[in-house]
Amino acid sequence: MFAFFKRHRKPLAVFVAVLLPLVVYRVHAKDPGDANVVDRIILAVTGPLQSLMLGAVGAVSDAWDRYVDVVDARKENVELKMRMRDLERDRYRLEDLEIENTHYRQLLLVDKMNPYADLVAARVTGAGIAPSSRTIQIDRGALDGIARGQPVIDGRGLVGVVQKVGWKQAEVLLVADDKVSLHASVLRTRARGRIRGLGLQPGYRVQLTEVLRSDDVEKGDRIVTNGLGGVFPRGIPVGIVTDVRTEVGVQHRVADVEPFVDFARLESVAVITTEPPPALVATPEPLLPPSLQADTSTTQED
Amino acid sequence: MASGRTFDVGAAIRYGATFGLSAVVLSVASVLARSPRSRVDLLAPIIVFLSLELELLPGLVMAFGLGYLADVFSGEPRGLYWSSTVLLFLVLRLFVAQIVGSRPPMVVAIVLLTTALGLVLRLVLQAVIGFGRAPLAAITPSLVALVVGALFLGYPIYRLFSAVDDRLKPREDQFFRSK
Repeated sequence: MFAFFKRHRKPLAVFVAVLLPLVVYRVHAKDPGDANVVDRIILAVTGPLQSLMLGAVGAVSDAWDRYVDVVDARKENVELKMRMRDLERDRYRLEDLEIENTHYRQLLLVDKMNPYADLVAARVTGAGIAPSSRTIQIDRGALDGIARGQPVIDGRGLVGVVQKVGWKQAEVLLVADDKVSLHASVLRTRARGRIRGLGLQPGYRVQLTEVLRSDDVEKGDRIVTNGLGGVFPRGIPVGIVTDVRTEVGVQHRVADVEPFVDFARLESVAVITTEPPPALVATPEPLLPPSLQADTSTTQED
Repeated sequence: MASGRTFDVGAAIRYGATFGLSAVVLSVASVLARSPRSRVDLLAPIIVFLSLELELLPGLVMAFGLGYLADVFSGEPRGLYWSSTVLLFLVLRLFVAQIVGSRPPMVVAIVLLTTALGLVLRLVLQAVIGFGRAPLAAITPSLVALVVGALFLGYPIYRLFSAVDDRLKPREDQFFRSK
């Protein structure tokens, strides 16, 4: 008998090692029961070990959490950078909107100051593509009451005159175009002259021509429309005199005028649609053209 | 003259150390198992170690003891981990250990296989001789942790047990000297 077990110890060991746990499991599958002595010994030995491990794992877990925090912080950093870019973009957009808003406020002010004049606000959608062109396109047309020859202004002053009209678009010839010629006066002395665009020159410069040699025109004088000719109402600011010349052999004086309107950055305008145009358009005190603001501040400081 | 079998102290220390280390590893596993998503199977690499490094009978005895130990930590009815550990050891010992070496990729692959096999085996045991159904849904939160644990902890644990066993294993020169 003993020899049998000795001879077949391996298969018997395997048989017992497999069968015993299975039987135990079958017995305890539905009722796990309490811990036996062996279990309690194992638990007693491994209990302190587990407490120790819990502390160690807790420390590792804390370190891991800190690592995750660092990773999260890095991720958050990237997100914040992206958010900062978004905010920067929003800021530019807001600045843009603020500028646009300022323009609209000025137009609204003009509208309030002239209750008898009909103003149609329009957005500048484009400009003439030819290098020599001094025109802009607006998003209002015949369906909005726009007609050829109507004056166009913005919150700062005179912009130009409607040249072509579509149903929902119109082309505006800027004052700076060399085809434009309109009657204007020096606000301080009421000296008359004609505003002519210098469209073929770089920039958007205009000149006050046909000013009598005897008339008083000085640098810094403000030029406004005077209502003659019947196209532009009286009182629309045009620009400020930057230089006055009296050429030899000519009876008239010529003044270089810096327009109040920044034609290169026009975004919104208003078309005076009243027919016939009102005799007078009141406008808020125009701001100095950007190019002259530095000079003025220097002068004031002096 | 009493020349009977003497108690091999070296072997007892060697297997005792393996058993003690198993208790430590299973304690760590039980601490980690507080969240279902971090329930790694640290038993599998120990079974792989027993299969690849020990002879059949010592390995079987160790697997038997290890299974019992795992049963205590498992939280399942008594006998489930016990029986599955023994069965896994036998399967690996009889089929896998004969054809593979112990290079890291191979060990990782075997640990992964053992983890999967253990999972399936326990489900089958539960369904066949347990309470009649396999709690498949209950183990799904742990699946990722099981795979990740097998991939990243399998070989280190295997190497830990191998290193301890190598330190305590009788060397060849000692063997000849004792002869």
